Amino acid sequence: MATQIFASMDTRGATAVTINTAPSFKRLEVKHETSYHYQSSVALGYSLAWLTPLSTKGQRLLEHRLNVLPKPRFQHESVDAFGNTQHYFEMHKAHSELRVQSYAIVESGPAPDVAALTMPWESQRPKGIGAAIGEPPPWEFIYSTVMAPLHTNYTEYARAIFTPGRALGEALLAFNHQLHIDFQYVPGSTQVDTPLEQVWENRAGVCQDFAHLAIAALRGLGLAVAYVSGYLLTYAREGEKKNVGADASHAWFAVWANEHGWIHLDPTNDKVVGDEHIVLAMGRDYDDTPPVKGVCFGGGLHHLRVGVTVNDISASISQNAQHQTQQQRQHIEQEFLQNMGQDIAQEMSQQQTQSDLMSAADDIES
Amino acid sequence: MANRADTLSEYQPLDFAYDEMVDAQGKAREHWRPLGDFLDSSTPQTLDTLKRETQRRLKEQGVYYNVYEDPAGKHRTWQLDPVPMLLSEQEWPKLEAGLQQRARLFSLLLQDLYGPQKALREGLIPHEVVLRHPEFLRPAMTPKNNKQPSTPLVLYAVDLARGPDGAWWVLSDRSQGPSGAGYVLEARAVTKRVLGQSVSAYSIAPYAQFFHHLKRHVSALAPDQQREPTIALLSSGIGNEVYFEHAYLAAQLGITLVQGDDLTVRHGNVYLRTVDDLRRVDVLIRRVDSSFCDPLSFRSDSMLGVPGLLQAQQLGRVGMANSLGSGVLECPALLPFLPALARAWLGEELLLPNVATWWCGHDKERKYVLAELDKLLIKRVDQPGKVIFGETLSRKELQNLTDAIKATPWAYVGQQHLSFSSVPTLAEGGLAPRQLVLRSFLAGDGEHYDVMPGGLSRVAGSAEVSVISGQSGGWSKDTWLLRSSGSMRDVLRLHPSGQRRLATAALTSRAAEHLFWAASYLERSESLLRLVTAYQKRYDTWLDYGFDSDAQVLRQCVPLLQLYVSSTLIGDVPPAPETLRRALLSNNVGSLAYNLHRGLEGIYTVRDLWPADNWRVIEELEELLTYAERNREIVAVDQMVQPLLNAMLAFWGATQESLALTQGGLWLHLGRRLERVQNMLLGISHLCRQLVVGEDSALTLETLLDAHGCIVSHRRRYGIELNFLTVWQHLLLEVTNPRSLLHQLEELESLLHYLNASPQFGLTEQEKIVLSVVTPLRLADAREWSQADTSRTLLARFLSELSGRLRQLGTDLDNHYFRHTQPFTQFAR
Repeated sequence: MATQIFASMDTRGATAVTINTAPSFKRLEVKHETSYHYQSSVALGYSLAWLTPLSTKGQRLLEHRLNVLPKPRFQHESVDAFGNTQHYFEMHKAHSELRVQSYAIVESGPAPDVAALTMPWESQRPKGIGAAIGEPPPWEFIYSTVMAPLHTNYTEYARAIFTPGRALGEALLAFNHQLHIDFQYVPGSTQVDTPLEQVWENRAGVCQDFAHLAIAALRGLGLAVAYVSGYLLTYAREGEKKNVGADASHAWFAVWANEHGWIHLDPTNDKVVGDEHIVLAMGRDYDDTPPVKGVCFGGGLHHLRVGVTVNDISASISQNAQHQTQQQRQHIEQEFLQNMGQDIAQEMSQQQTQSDLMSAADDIES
Repeated sequence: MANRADTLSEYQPLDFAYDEMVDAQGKAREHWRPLGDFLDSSTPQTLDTLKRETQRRLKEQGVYYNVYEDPAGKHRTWQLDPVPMLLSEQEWPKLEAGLQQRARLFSLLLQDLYGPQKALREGLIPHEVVLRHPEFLRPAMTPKNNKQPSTPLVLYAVDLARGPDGAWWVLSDRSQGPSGAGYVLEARAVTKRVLGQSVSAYSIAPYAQFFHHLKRHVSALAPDQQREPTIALLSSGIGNEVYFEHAYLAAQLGITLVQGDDLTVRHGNVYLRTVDDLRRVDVLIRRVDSSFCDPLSFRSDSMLGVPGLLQAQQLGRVGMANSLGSGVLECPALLPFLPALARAWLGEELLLPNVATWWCGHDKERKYVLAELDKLLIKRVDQPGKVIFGETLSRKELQNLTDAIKATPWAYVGQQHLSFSSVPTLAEGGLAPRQLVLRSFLAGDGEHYDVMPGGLSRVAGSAEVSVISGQSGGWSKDTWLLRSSGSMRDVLRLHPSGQRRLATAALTSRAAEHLFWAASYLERSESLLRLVTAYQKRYDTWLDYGFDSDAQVLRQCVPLLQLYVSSTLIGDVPPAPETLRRALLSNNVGSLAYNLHRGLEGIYTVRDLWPADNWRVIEELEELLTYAERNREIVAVDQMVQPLLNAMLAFWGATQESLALTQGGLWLHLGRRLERVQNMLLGISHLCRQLVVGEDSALTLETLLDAHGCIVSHRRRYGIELNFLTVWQHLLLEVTNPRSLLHQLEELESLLHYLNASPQFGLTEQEKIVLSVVTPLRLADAREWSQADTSRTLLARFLSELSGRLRQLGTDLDNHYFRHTQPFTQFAR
């Protein structure tokens, strides 16, 4: 029973439940490209990326490929403090453009019946001893952080909805809805480092801001709340073809319910996270798991471009699903490369001259 | 023996504290008696001499304590009290065992917090204490799939104080990058030298063994059981308050002193940028706080770190002492939970007690702290060094502190205000008691720890103050652990003969660059000084006799001076040397003071390379400069110039003797030669253009010779004959004249040849450039420039052209050998 109700909840720390591959699961494909165009050549670059979707109770990762261009000289994959897959890579050769392409297929389950969570919300404050060894304990998620600082304003905002003894599910849905109504979604109104205070005052922001606000407000009540980075499936307008890259990275929050694990809510869309969402990574706030971050020597000013496309490929899955997926993936990768063919050729010739200039000491492999 | 107490009657211990020297009956404790006798038999004059001698020796060694944002400059001499702190042999074993136990416990805790976190899961430590501490760095968590054993706590220090009951109490722990061990060595060296044979009755436990162990433990962190690991000490550089110590320790351990931009991570390995290539670093002794060490994973605004360093640690490709994240152990809120932790994990009682500490994150403790606020010491968990004395606060301040604690209780601890023991210290007007904190140092592998026998004792600056830190004006003392037997001699040799050195220090590209430029700046100062001397001589002659020909020479010299110092000195009347003085000592780019400061700064940055002899000379140079600057309105030019020139010569003499070519001498000499050649080429060609056809140029030429220190050698060679031919031959082309241009170039040639790593494949680009300058000079014939007009035209052009070619050499050297790290930038988000 619980399996079905909480199908899209991550129950890391709670009882493990086998993944259901019932037809109600959507198969989603995501293409995510982050590119940096540098004003001047970059001699050395170091990056960390959190681009591998998590396998959670409500989501199964079927396939993931990370493609970095130009090819990194060193790459390493590991699991971070919060259980996310983290990629580290080094660029040693001079380059003027960096592309990080991520391709994933996940199976995503339907939204759980959050309204069925009738226990009083106070009972879900994390208990001192929570998670098993090796998993992030929920009390990592109860403290103020730089990007989600606690403030009485936010706490009071939540308290108006989280009245004493109110059922957790009901309160959460009401809170998610309230945020959606009170705060206007205005693309471009904030940057990653816009202080939360400003979002609060302007009553406007983007998905990240709403997630941080929810986190700060509910942590103020003593609940454990995580920041979730991910994607959302969008649909093309009737009669139109969906544009590649038109989607964006998305973010929302998840609340820890002791017996039920994480409950994901998307205030931007006033939704319970379900089969149209893809969970990428979870942390205390944005800074724990940005999709890509990095440090480079040289480069000067640079231009960042992000393109995300999420497609529902459930329909295309026949009996020979695995085979088709394979073909599809190859096709998509080809598409990627074709788009870039021209750029890369240019880039290569640039690289040649730049690398000639580099001192021998700069490349220990040669 | 019975009258011992009377002999120390002048010394008045504090009535509220334990005194290290004198017992409750006013008698000197057994182990203090020989020192007590000595102090007692000393007159105030002797004591005063002792004190001054100590400071002099420290200054000579260049022992500094840098104070951040000190308007008075970067340096302040470290304060050392010549009276040592004495530890008796009887009390040592207990103290040692307590320290070792504490180190083992902290090492387990470190590995646990960055791993399974059992201490938090089992409730032995409230998770808030750890999870909210800014030095608990989640990216440094041991990855689940990690096969590397997690790094133990290797370097550790404890601040201890003795309470009124005579027992030692732990005040705080140092696990980030415990500093002070270098000062200990210096304190020992100076104290023993100053006290000399006066206290020969003592046998003192030597330090050398401890440093050997320290290096052994650090070396053991090298990946792949590397036998001769390359070890480097990562410092934040000259701006750090204890940079001297970093340099001193690196020199004593025979390891390389580096800063973040000396290192680079490739393929998850850490490399050092040397002048030759990249050299793998196996172990880092970290003296930069973790959160500043890797801008990729930690603070992105840090310019002190190395991107990728954390990955290198996580991959087990570099040993780190201490591992990134170790600073969390310094959190004072951990103290109250250590006794239970020791029982649970070691099955032992904590041998060394903590000073009573209450963490405000717990209700009962917070209530107690708030009630007793005006009696306790208050610390923030994230600033363990900053202590608030409740008793010194006003009513309003107490209220503010109460509010602050109530707002974020987890961030505060209250600590018992212990009356630290006092120890005799040479204060103004004689021996006086000062309260003491002892820093003990340990090095180990997680299971076994070696304790430094002794430590660094620090005493308060005055009787009233019990805050003790180098920054707030306290004094340090050597600490003598007394032994009943053994040799009196404490040999400081860290590499006793027969004991293989574990590693060799590499010359970083940065060090080479600093040496090169320091030498250039010093050389520029020197040629400016010589020019000023020559000018002054000519000026005196002009004053004495009033000949216009002398005035003409002086006027011709002014543009040369202006090559260095830009100022408006031009006029019909040659400026008096006293007028020059201000320009020379101004802070303007190119002034004498500017060049000397830049040179000294470079020298100071590579502090670890200089032996004591050199340092004495450098110190003198700096003192002369400081004196001249302070008296810039009154100092006579000749009074200033000659001593500075002498000091500079002494510096070059000392380096010739002490700094091997491979250890950086090469770069120093390269910088000096290249600069001198350029100065000659520019100066002489400039002067040539001043020449007036038809005028007698003999006086001008004489001054030129003088400015290049060639007047005596010219006279010995040509007698009274002095004309264009003889001067150009002697100054430019004469190989046997060690100050001639050609001789300088030949020196340069041989230095560059030394740098050529594979001479079998021919000349390097740099050698070719020098050859292209040397050859025309060798082929040149001074007879072609034997007139004023040919000198004005042909020679001036010839020299300018050579100068142009050499400029390429400077750029080439710079590109080829020096580090070229651009500042890094963060990706846009």
